[in-house]
Amino acid sequence: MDHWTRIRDEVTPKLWATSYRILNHFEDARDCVQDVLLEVLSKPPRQPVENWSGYLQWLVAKRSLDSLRRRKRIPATGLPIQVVNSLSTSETTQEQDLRESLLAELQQLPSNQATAFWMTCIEEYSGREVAAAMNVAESTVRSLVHRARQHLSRKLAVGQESSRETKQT
Amino acid sequence: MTPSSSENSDELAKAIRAIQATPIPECPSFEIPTQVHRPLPQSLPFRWLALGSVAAAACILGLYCLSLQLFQTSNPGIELSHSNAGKPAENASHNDSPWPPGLVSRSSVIKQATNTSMITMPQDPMQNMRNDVAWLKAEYGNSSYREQLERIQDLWLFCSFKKEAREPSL
Repeated sequence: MDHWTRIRDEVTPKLWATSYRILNHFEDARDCVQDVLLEVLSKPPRQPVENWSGYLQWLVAKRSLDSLRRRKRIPATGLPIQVVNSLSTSETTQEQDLRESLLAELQQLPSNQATAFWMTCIEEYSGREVAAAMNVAESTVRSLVHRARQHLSRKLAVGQESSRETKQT
Repeated sequence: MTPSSSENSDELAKAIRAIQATPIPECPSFEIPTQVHRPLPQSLPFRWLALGSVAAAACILGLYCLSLQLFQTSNPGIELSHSNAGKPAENASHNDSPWPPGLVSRSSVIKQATNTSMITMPQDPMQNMRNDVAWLKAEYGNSSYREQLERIQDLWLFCSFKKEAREPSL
């Protein structure tokens, strides 16, 4: 139990940040992290885990992206008032648009591509760590990330272009 | 107009930075329960142990039922029930019994045969017939139920004939 307490104290803030970045919803993100922790406790992985942080982060990212796919409501509506007030308001509309576009496009990707992209590009884990967490070869992770980047770049550029044209007209 | 690859990468990089810069609220506390319900182990030895236990219980139950069946076949007059196990069915109704009236069970017949003298001829012709039946039953007690029934039927025919001869209906 001490082992788990230590993992919880060290890793939980990272898990929370990941889940919140994806879901952008306080309650959903909290539920997601809690579910993953309970799942790992009740059904520990069969193979030994070298990097618990990476493994849990991968689980949380995967679960959060799945929740995002299922969710239809507008993000950020569930934030408590005090949390909304405490957040930085310096975020520009363009950044917000880009973020929402990226999250929307991530939902269109296959689960393993989206998770590999998130872990590598957003959370900045190494390919080896992601491969260990996903239990696949490092080359597979590189391939997944490459395909995801190609798809997202294309879609984002097209989306930005169309939004610019809409603004001009 | 198709955007170039560098523009594509720029947009993606900006989006990644925007997501990384998302303001994160303070991490809430997460409860880790001290006792988590763990499912039963699904390893191969455990499965075999569980299956073996069930099979052994089924075998024991089957053997018990078989032995009961055999006991009842070899002792048709003895009813095995929870309240009257092993005791002769003395109080069984004669309508339900496969035996002719007066023959409740083999044990009672043997008892009757033991108590009745075979040498002295009783005055009652029916008593005589019952004695014959009892003797036959004691003699052929070990034969099968059908054989016993056939012998008894033969004897009854014979006794009826004797009775007829002794006491003509005319």
